[in-house]
Amino acid sequence: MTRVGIPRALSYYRYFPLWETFLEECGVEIVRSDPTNKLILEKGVSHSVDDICLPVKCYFGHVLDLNEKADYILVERILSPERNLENGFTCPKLMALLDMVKHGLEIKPKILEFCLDSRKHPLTRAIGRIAKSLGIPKRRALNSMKAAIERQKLYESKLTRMDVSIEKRNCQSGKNEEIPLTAQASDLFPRQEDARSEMRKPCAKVTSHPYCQPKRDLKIAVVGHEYLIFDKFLSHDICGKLERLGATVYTSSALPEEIIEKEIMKYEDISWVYERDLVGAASYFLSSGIVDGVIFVVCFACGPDSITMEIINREICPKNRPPVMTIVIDEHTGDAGVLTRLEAFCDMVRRG
Amino acid sequence: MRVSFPHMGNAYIPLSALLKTLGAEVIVPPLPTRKTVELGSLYAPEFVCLPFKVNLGDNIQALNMGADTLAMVCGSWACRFGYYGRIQHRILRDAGFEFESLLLGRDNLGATYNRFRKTANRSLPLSWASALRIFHMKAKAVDKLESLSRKIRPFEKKRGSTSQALAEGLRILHEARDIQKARKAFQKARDLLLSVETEKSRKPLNVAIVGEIYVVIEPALNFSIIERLGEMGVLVHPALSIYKWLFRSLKIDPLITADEKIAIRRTKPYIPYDIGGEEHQTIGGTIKAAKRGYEGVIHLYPLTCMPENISRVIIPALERRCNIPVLNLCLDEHSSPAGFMTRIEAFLDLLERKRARNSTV
Repeated sequence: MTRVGIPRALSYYRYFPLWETFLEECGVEIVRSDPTNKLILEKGVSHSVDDICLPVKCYFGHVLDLNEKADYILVERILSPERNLENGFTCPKLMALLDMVKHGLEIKPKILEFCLDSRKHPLTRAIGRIAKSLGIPKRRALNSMKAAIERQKLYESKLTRMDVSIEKRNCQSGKNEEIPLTAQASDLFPRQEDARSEMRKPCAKVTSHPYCQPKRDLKIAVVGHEYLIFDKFLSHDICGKLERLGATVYTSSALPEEIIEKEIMKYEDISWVYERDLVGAASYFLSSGIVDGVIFVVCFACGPDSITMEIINREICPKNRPPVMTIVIDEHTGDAGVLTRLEAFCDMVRRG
Repeated sequence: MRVSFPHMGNAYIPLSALLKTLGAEVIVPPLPTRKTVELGSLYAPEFVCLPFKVNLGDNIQALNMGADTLAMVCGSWACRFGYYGRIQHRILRDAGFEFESLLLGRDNLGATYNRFRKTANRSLPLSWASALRIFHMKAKAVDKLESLSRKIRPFEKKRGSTSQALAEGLRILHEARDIQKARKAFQKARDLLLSVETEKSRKPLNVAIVGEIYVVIEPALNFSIIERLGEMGVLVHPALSIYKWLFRSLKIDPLITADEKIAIRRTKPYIPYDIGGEEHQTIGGTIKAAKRGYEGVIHLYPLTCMPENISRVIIPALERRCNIPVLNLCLDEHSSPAGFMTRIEAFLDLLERKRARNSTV
């Protein structure tokens, strides 16, 4: 049976139900790369350019991890994701990721292209091409495609639960219901347990720490790219750490599109789609008053984020009240350093 | 209106001619130095690309010199450059400076056009027409003088005489106020360059320079690499020039359009989509250098530049396929001239040896 490798990085966190359901339905064996770990990251760092951003280095590591395990590797090229935007595109690195893998890495497996440009072609064409290069008969591909798109929609509706707006209503009416969004979001990913159990070990000490709050009295929003905040190794499990510090965590990817569209209208437009989402999410969390603090997670050398963070810090923050912290992550960031900053932030929010 | 704009090589010559003809007072900040870079890095976000920091430093210096309007282009491209104006002006306002923004983008061409209604001393369309004419003329003149100097420099008898003649020529050109005077100035500058004493018997190396436009063009950032290479006896062929950059988007010069098209076609097997920077000139320029039989390529890019980072990943494959050595040099505010020049000298030594070996075989 053909084995298709899927790197567990970058858009995996956005499109995995689509890819996995489709390939499974087509009767292809799926091989996922291991959840990000030290070895994968080191491999990626040593095989890429020094000053490229951390997620791309990590992606390289995942591709190399699949080198021996699979016959094909699914590599993405996202030019513009499924949105009703006239002129929206992604970061250049996502546009040229496929070229970088093709020419920058020496890998044995063949490359399966997932090339999504929804300004020109629908999503179905991107999947159709995968089927074509795998040599799957048309009828079977069509049926699998239907199932895959359904699963993807289900996933998205689960991820972007409308609860946030319900939560807002509850806040206004005085009721205070807790909806831990991250717990549910990360439960959606397949087999994260192995990653989690590994990450939990050092954090076990945290629960016995005097500062550790058993009750959840804080609400903190974590704004950042999915491939960063949902990757527990890369982000040093910021969401989990916050939860153990007694915070209910809200993530930016849980916000439905309507809210983001409404928020972004207040500011000058940005044409990078994913960064546009972040600006919208930041604006929503900062202005709606549903959270006590906002944490931005950025990786070093992220091109668009160097600009969007400046937009958020200078255009959105001054108008709004909640405290804000930016955590910049690179391959040298230490776990303890992140924890210290999170603890200090939580203390500050509690006292302020 | 006291207008200023950030530096980019010799772009200040055509740009100040354009604005002066429109009746604005032009404040040209001092040519960027290390001090400018430091000043800019003080206010700029941490990991934004280097040109942002230098431009910010230029703007601060101009504001201190009394500018009240800052000009910049803007747009929404995949590259960060389109957001420079928006963010830089916000940073400067937050730092307490007061000024007006003149952001030229595709959406506000009309507004920019009308901005000069008060200052123009003739009717507005006429002023714009003559301003654009002198802008084009001076840009082309600068380009011609620069390329002539690159051809003469490796052969000069007295080291530094070409650069001296070029600086003098550019000064004359910059001071010429109308198009007739500018034409005369160009002739004079050309004669100055041609009168440099040369020794034609040398056999210089041919090296192409590719990379991000700003670091290729701005001598303050690349430690005057074009000048230094020339003085070391190398014929330098930069893939980009100010003239090309300024008139690329206007599409009025068929030569530039054709050049871009060829570069894009050559890049297609490597990067099939437009990613918003000069990646096609980098990849296409490297292939062109190999086709023309140049000895080597120097690839310059600022730290964290997105399009050039992608090219940087692809270039090693290109190096093997086209069999041409490429030196990748990443520049940021901490690069030092000594380290930079050592690497270039070593690279040139390698090229020299390779050539000697090939000629004996």
